[in-house]
Amino acid sequence: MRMQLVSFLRFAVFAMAGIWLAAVGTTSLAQERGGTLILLVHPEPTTLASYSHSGATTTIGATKVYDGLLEYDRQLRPVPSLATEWSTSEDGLSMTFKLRKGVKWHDGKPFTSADVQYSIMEGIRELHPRGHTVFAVVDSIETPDQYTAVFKLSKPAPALIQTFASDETPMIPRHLFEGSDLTTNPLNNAPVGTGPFMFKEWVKGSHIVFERNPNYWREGFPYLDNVIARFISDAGTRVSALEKGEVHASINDAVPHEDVKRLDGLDHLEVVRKGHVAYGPILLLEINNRRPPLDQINVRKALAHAIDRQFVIDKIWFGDGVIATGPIPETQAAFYTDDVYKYDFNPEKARKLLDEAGLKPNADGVRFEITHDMLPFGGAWQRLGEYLKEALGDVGIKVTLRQQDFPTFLRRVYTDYDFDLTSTWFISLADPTMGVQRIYWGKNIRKGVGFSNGSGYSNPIVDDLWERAAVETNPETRAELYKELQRIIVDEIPVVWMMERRLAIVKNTRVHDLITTAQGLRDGLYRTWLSKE
Amino acid sequence: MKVRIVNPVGRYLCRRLIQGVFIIFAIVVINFLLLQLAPGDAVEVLAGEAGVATPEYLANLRHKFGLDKPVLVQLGLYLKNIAMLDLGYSFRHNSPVLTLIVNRLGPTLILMVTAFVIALVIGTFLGVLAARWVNTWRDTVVTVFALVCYASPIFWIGLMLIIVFSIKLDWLPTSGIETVGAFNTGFDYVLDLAHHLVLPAITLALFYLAVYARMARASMLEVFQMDYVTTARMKGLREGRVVYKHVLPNALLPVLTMAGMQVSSMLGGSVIVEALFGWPGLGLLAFDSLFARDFNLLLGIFVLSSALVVVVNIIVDVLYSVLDRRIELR
Amino acid sequence: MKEFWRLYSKNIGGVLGLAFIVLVVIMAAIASLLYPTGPFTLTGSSYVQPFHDIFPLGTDSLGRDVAAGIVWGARVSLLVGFTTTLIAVFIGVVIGCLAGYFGGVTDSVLMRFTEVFQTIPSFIFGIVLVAIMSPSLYSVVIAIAVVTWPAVARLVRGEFLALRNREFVIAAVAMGMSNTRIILTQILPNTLSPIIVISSLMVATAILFEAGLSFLGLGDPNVMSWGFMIGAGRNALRTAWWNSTFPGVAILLTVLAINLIGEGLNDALNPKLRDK
Repeated sequence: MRMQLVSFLRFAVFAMAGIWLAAVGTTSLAQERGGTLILLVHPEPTTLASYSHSGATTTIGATKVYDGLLEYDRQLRPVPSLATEWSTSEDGLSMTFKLRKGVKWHDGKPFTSADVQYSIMEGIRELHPRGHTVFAVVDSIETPDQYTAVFKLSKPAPALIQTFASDETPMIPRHLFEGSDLTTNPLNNAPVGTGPFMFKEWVKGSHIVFERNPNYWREGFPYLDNVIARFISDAGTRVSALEKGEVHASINDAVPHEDVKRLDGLDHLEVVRKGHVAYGPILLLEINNRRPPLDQINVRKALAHAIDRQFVIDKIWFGDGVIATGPIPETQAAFYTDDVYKYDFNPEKARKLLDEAGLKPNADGVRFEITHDMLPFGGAWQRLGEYLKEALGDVGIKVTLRQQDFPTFLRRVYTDYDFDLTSTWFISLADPTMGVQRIYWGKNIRKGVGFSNGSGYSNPIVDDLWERAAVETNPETRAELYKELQRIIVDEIPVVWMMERRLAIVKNTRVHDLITTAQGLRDGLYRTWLSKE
Repeated sequence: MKVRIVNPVGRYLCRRLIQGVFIIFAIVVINFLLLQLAPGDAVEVLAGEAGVATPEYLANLRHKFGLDKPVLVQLGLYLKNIAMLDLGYSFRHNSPVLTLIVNRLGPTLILMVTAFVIALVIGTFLGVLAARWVNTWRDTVVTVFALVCYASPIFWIGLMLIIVFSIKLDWLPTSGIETVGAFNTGFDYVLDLAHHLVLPAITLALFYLAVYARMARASMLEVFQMDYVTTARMKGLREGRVVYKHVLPNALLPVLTMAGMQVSSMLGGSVIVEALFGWPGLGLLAFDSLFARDFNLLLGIFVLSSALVVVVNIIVDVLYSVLDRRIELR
Repeated sequence: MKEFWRLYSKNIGGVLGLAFIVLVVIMAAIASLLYPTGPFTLTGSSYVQPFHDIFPLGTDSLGRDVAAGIVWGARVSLLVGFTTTLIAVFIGVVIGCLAGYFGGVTDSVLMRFTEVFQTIPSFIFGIVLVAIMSPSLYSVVIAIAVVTWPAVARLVRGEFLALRNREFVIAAVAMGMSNTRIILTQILPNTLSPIIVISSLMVATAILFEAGLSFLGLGDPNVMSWGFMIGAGRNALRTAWWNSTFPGVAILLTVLAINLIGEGLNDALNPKLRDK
């Protein structure tokens, strides 16, 4: 009895010591100032004008220099940035932002509501590929005083409040841009903003240097002295650079998926899979619904059942994803539902469905032939194509793979509609109207526009639901509309939803607080710091 | 007013230069028309990278870039600009083409010249060595080494070199032209550059090193048979003197011709090396510009590299006639 | 013929090279016997190490047998090598002999034309051609052929220029032979030696060129070629080195063998050089 008590006490003491040590250990890391963070970015951006170009790496660079009116936390809730308060009117036709006082541009001039008006009405609404559509609903922006901006809308837009981070809607300096041709202004490659870092130099083909803004409006931030975006075009060399510590972190897809796991196992490196929340990336196979026999729902259903999506996730993307159930990703938690038909891996069912559709195998076992155009973004997509060739071949569908470069791919798929099956991925962004609707909306079948509705899917009931949900101000009603949409679209399966990507970022253990907002690496990185070892 | 150039060398140079201009002209026209066959244009790429766009946005951009004009009109405009040494504007990069090329020319030149010198000097030296000590172990080692270098895919060698010398041994950096966080200046910068130059230059040089070694060897052996060498030997001259004074200059003529031709192919080889080592040069720029359909940039690079090849060929031919007095400049 | 073999077999390298290529050709021919389901079959076991299991050279990320890939890939590499060379040599010979035989304006025009193609950086131009035609075996072969024929043309022209003024040609002209007959029956047979030698080198060049294109992602995705395998396995170089290494070795040995054959041919066909 006494022995048991002693051993229990000993255990308790050790346990408590352990808990205390753990607590101290995790909270006692004090942020250190200084140092240069070298970020591996691929491919090199062509410009830093994120108000007119929405390429991923353009945004990654530009968000160090520009701020947005808002930021979003990891639950996608808006948080003050250049705007301190905001409100929407009862009728949903007017949004008011109160701006932060005392913010200065990198050249010393003050930030005011005139900049907001200019950035959006002259810049983003005119030139930004997404902003053009998103802000079309804004008729004007009034500036009753220097620190107030009032958006006047032509109809209610409940999704609009989700677009004000620096990645989608950067604030650019009116006094430097006004009167010039925005598309050729040299500031595009040497931006001036209000952000935590200032643009220093761009050595094309090599790197961009951003240095600390000593007058940043967030007192005490940023911690880093410099952020450098480094460009290395060969994948193997990128991996080597990470291993040797020549770069401290890599953006998603810069490191081949094979290596991510291996690098995770090294002492000085670790993998973070949190940077995707604001983007909800979904990988899917677009099916050309115009072409027989793919115009039959049962044939498309068979296609889905013939594919082992978990295999693709495990063997091709090495675990960086989860099976996608439908058009809306689970990151859009307010609208997501998994109460939809599930396309499990079932080749037998696939064969049965094809038999029922009247597509019997011929003497060679082939029921019909299709081509597959692989997204020309590298090895993983080719592996996917090769896998599909085998998997679909197994149920009697003969697949011929086609490889081409990016512009040819865009032309073939989105202009000529000359395809049967393609692979691609879309970012869904924070609200279904921003990134999801464009794929399944009948009015977005637009020749020549990349990543629009390529499959040709057009269902009037569905279109009506999309349009109603876009202007519905009651959150519960809105959510119900989107859930209904998911059920219908999954049943009609215009595309095969493969997986929701978990964008893997590989970073050195010396780097702390790299991902703190929903934007992941596409924010100012002002909280990020480097420890000595 | 007719200008008569009396000096035969001067006349020759003039003729060659004019011919060179026509060749470049032909190259531009061929490539311009050829590139029109590539599906998709720069605007679609920009829009595709953006992820979403509207038809009006695309049409607007096309008009801005001048892509909505008929093909022959575009070609005519482009040629007119080239004649005035204006290489055009890259809307993708927001910068004049000439600026972009000049910025990336330095690294490519450094890489190519270094690789060229390494290949030529070491390759010829090895070839001469092998010929001098023909059919001995030295000859066999050199020949085998040359064959292996010649037969291996250049990117494979590059990757192996990175793994061995950069990762395992940590002697050299994996990529790039400078240590990015270091902000070196002056002599430190040069040293850092040299450090980064080693692996890419060696990778690019190995193939041509093998070519020169084998050429030099074969050429030397051929010349060894010649009468005047036998004569020299009979006259009692030392073997060394025979080699360096009589054999070498004549044996190197084919090597020289080869060197001229190699400039053209080395530019292409640099695409792979630049891609592998992240070396910010023209090869990589050309590659990227093709897939972005940034034709102004791509054609600009074609013009420049063709001009380079033409000039080098002229120099080689002049040198050739200087070295071998029997050959006249026709 | 016997004389040819006697001279050829004096070069050990040439004999070894020939033996190796014969092996490769046999391997390619019986590929469907060795691996009847083809090289793309997913065996279900990915990243199996070589030399341990039933997969002698291991498997790749999707579980495809590397040895199957090597065997089937031999077909493609050899096909690309020989077809490309055939086309390039054909073009080069036609242009070269026309330029060399007729001389004058024809020569000038054809040589300027050849110079244009020689001045364009060949690898980049090859990439442009493949990009325009979209990657496939067909476009790769055409691209490589278009880029490599100038060397053949130059060589053939030089030979024709040298032989055109020889006695037997002048005699043939005097006899009233047509130009075509003279070219085909009198001169061309005498230029075969250097043409054969350069052809052997071009096969090797074509194989390397195809590997380079595959490395950059511009190869045909429906066929298993060695270049394709290196490209596919490249990202796993550190964890699954066997994916890229074995195809790389295959290319190395094949190109090496072809080069040795070229040297052997050179020795056999140019006997005055062989006494080293």
